Amino acid sequence: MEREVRELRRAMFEHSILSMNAVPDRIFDRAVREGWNRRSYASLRAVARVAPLSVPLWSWLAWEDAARFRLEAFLSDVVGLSGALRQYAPGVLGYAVWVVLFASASACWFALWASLNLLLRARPAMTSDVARLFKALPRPEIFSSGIVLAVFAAPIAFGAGIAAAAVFWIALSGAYLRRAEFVMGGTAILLLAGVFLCGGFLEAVQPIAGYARQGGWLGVEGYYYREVPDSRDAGRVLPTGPQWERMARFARARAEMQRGNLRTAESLWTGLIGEGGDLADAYNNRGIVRVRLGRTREGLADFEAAADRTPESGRAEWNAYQLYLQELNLEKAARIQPAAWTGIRGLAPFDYRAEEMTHGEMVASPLPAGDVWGTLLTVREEGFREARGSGFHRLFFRPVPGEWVLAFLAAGGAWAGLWKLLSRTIWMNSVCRSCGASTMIVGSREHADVCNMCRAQVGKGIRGGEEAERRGLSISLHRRYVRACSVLFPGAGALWAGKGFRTMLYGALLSISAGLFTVSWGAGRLAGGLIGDMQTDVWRAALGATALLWLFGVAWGWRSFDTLQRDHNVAGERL
Amino acid sequence: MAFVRYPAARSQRRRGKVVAVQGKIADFGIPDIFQLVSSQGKDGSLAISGNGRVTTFLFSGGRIVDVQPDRRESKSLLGTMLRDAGYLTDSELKRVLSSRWPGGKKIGELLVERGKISKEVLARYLLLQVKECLFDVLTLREGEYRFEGFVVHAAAWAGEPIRADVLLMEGMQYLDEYQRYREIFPSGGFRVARKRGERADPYAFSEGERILWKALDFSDDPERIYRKACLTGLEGIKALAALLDRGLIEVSATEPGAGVDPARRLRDEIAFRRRFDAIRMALWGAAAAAAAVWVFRGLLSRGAFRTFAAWVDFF
Repeated sequence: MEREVRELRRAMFEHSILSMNAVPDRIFDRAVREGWNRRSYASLRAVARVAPLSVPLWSWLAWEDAARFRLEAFLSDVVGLSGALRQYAPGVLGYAVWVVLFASASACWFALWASLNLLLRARPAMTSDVARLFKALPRPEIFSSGIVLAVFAAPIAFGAGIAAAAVFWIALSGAYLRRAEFVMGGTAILLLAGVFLCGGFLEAVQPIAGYARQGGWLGVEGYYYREVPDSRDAGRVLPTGPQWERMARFARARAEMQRGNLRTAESLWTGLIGEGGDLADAYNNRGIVRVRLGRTREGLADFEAAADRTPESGRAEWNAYQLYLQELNLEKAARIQPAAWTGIRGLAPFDYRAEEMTHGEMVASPLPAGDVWGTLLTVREEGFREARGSGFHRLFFRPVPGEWVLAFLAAGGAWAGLWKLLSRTIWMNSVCRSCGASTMIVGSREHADVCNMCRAQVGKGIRGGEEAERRGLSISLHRRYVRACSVLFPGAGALWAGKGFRTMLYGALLSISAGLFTVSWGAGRLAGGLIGDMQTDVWRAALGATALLWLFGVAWGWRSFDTLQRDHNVAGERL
Repeated sequence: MAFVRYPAARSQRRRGKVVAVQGKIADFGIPDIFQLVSSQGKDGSLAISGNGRVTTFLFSGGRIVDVQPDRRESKSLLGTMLRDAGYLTDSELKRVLSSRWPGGKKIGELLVERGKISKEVLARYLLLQVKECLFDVLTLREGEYRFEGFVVHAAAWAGEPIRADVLLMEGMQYLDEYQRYREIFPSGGFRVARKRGERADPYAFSEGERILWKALDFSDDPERIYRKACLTGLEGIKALAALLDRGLIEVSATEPGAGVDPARRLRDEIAFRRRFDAIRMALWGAAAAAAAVWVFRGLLSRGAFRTFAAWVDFF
């Protein structure tokens, strides 16, 4: 494999090709067909030298290293991955989309988890308040329980989206929550607003996918090139801005260079240099084109101009060094040799070895994609516009019309806040967190959410008989309810125990692992090759982490609530 | 007067115990038998049967040290008395009853050991139990008695042995006066409660009135109030009559339909709440299952995961 890689590498240099991104996936597909995919690590590591811009390959290698506890190789692969992400435009876009999807999935899980937990936290007091409306009936608690259950089930029955239902539930629960729980609900609503805007971003970026992937104009490195669209065509699917326009022109010049249309390539590079901006890469690539056209002196001037602008990049110095050697200008070659060798070795993710490059190989500059990150993630007007009809809107915010989603979220948050403020001035029910006893209260419920009997630690009460029996029953039913909530909605017990912010942190961790599962599960099933293989491992790991966190949440919530009850002498041990 | 007469009363040895006296109540009155055992300072058990139940008194040196009411008459059992007085819940009583046999300990001893009640409380309720059982057997006109002699040692945790002659005096008073006081109150069931806004000076009360006044907080059922105050029926009704005379309480007759035992009513209510809560939890469980399906469709269905796998298209 090493010999084949070296020969392929030499052929690539002759066409100024920096990466053959298709090669790793082809090899891996073959390994899967022939059944040696579990032993393909060594082969694919060697292939990284001819496909250094393959983000899936570096990710796969890093994942395998992590799974095999190879720290040194893992760190080196992470460097390779970050280098590929800085220089391979589809990788940048794909990674940005992955980040946005991962964040959105995590935010959705968090909102869902938080809203359900908060509704169940508020349910007992809400049921008692609704029962006040049915005082005239013989068993008001039956009707009120039915109504609260219907309120919970209504969004599900009507097929509302997760985000719409979550906001509805949070708005209902607002008045019955502690401050930390209220912050949790508010955070969930803010995150949902972010999800909505992320939908707009994805909608704006999605059309680029067809142009970016294999064979498209952005994916020039190492693919067969179907066509060279006019930069104006490219501009139609790109995010707006001069940076993206320049990137499209650069990609087109690189494509012409690789196809061997040297004169067209030279004019395109000259055009780019004439426009100004970051010129070092354009000078370097024009220098290669001119050398291949036989205009060595002009090429050398371009290399020197590039090296003057960014001496640390190493490519232009290497190319100049090669040219000096070809012209037998050994004095100059010797002078810049150390810098050229050092520079070329430090070019991540390219594993250049100067001692192997003895046939006059020149190193071209790739598409400078790394600096578009900021532009890519900047909130733009089209993001808002596209969000109204995005896939996220249809999936999560139905039936709220796209134009009204942000207003709906704001109204949900405002209603929860208003409901909370109203609870400070009107009589409402409050349920003791420890024993579940319901009391009517007005004012700040934060101080009164543990009843006086629990504060005084009098166990089942200061009187015996019926009162003690009733209180004992209330305690045991409350305990059963909180334990059931803890099992179904992990962390609920800790929320009842008053650990609001810690529960929120736990919910964030749970949501992140669930979000990772969501983005990797689909990819594992849909994508083949390296991505499919790696994502299959990732979703299994994410699912395992989610299950572990779930179990931890159940145990932690259960224990926290038991401790709370024990501290208030209603746990059964000290009664 | 012949104290012992064959065949109504005879002595015989059986299973290591000496059956000293036995006969019919119609022939030989209960007070006389108690008097006889007490004056002779006997050790042993006196079993009195009548009205389909048997009550056994244990004597040591002629003094009553314990009583074993008929198990069918649960009202007089110590556990029931303490439960009615609020010292135990139903479930605690069941737990104690199911756990006491292996050690062979009696319920009062166990409750003191577990810290549910103090020794003083136990002694008071044991005395009350003896009194109530004695007053109960004094009302018997038909039945039999049987005294078996054997050595009885008073338990350390029980109270002081009780002089039977003193109790008999109280019993006679009970027989004479109870009906008179009872007639002050509505026939059938009734309830009592403190009058709203009435202020009382506890120092002006007798001991019984003071204890009963305090116990009025506990329940509106006179029987449970007496239990809470640890008073016999006569002491309780006397104190109630005195408080009624002072105008501090109000009495209302219970309606025929409402004559359900309060403990039974409470148990029914608890059973209802448990059933209701179980049904409610089952419904919420079903709703949670529906929510899980809904979440799956929202975040993990084919459509959703196509959306979330869109990033793959860029590589």
